[in-house]
Amino acid sequence: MVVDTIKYIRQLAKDSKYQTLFSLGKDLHNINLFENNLDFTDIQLTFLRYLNFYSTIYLDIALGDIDEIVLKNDIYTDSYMMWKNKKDKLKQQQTEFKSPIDNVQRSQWIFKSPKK
Amino acid sequence: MAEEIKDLQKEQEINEVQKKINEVLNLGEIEDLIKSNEKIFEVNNITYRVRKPTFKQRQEAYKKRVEKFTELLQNDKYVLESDLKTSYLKRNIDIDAMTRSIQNKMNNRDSLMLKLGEMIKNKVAENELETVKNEVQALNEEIQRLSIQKTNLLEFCIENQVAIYTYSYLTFLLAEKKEGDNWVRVWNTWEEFENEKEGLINRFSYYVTMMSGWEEM
Repeated sequence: MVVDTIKYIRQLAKDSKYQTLFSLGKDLHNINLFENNLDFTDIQLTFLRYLNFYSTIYLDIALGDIDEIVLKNDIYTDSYMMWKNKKDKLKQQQTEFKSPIDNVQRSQWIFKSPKK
Repeated sequence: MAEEIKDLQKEQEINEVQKKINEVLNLGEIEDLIKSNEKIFEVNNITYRVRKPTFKQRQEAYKKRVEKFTELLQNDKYVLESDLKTSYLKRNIDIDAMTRSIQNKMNNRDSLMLKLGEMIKNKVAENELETVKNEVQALNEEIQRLSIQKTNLLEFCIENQVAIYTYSYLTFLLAEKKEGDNWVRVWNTWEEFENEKEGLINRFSYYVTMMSGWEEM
């Protein structure tokens, strides 16, 4: 029995073979990662989450946002993704707060003509 | 003396090779589990299968879970987690304090990880990254040690016994073997399941856990 399952799931999700299949599968629907197309098991869903996780990391490396050192160990990788997710969440909250729709609605209320 | 050192080196090399072989085998096993929502394997020329549980099977296991919980609750020999915590407290073992300590360490670990993440983004020198990484690792080890200690202390509570029973029941429901062209249940009764060899049950249980999740039920 495999004890450290997550370690091996991560190892596979990081692999270029699965990353290529994952990336192609997004555009070409006849490329399947699994034998089943639905009704995924828990381990398959965990694997998909890690594929997406590493795909984001590889993209950030390709864009030059970070160096490959991020892949040196799981603590580096997880720390970077934790920081990135928190930053994105904060950015999203700020955008929502300054939403143009929100501003229009406020303006409408502020400049509403008084009832005659 | 030189002979002994030579033997020791040889033993280390053998262990290293064995470790690598295990890594490859484990990776292959996980890859095989990922490729499909069913697992087929052979033991002593018998072909076995385990598949992701259906809604009906989950419902059946859940019903058994409720029955088991009610049964154990009525038995004075078994105790709830909350009762067990009170008993431990009388012996100066504070489980709630242990939980708070784990949570504090997790918060500290997360703060360090956020700091490390930003350092990676800012391309800080590796030796500085390594210092923070070691602090995270030390906290992870402490969290793991405390979590294991807590799990061991609460092992015999009703909630834990019910969880073990539910997974065993799900294993009993999901295990199939091939007979001719048909797949049939491995065990027709719970008694048959309980009398089975531990090795086969453990293997099925592992696949069931991988397919249906750790904390879903």
